[in-house]
Amino acid sequence: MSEPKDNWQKLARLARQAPQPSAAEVPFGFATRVAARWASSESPAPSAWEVWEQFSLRGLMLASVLVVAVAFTSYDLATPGWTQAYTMADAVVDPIFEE
Amino acid sequence: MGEQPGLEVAVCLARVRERDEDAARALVEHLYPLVIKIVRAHLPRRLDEEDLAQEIFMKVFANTAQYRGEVPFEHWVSRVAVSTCLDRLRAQKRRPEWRWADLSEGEAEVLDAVLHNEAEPHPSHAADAGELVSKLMQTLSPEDQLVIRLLDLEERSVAEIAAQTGWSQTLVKVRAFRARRKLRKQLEELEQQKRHE
Repeated sequence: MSEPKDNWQKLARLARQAPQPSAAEVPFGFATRVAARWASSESPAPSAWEVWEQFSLRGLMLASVLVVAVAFTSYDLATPGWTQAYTMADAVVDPIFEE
Repeated sequence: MGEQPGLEVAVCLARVRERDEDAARALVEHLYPLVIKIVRAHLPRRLDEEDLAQEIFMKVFANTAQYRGEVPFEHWVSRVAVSTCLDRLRAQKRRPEWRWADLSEGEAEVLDAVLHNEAEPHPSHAADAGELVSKLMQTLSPEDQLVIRLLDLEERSVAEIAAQTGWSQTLVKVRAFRARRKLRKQLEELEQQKRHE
């Protein structure tokens, strides 16, 4: 690209010799300001997966509690056959032991 | 780059991920020279360099989880800085063209020397040449400005620019070719205006 009559390259070559800005010293308090602003900013928003995961876990826990509660309150209704069988067997076994 | 002696970037980064403010401060001090160099090179007009540097650091901290360690952390930060500067440049209106009358006395003088002298202009005109180049580049798209600045002013290689921008090497070359063509056209138009004066 460095043709002899390339005015753009000629200008760019000259511009490259322009004095550069002074050394990059961190301005006083800049790092503290940036760090404090970042620390005070909110935590990054959770991803859709994280929201779904949290929601599912809470749902699962609630469902488990409900299952236990329902099982506890309706134990007799849920197992009438077993209770009846036990009562009948008890009635048969008790006289044998009484003898 | 003015690195802090003994700063373990990986350790510091891990602490930043745990929202350690001291680690964030150390990282800012470590990365400031790199970030400010990019900001100064691409600073959109009328923008304070410290504000832009602060915005870049906030983006870096907000996205540390996305850094996978595939490239050195400094390269990743450079890319964040370049893309932030590009966003800001995009938000600004491009200048359609420059006329001879818009140039300062020094800029007009240096342009005259570039256009009409066979010899290289004297280095004492370098500062004016720098100003003139910045003006001419304002007529380019942000992407073209970036390529020209890195390639022709900072003399980076095409491979380096591709790594810093995430563009392919072919795209970098095509952009450079088109941008230089536009700049040469600008110079020709300015020369014609000068002749008609």
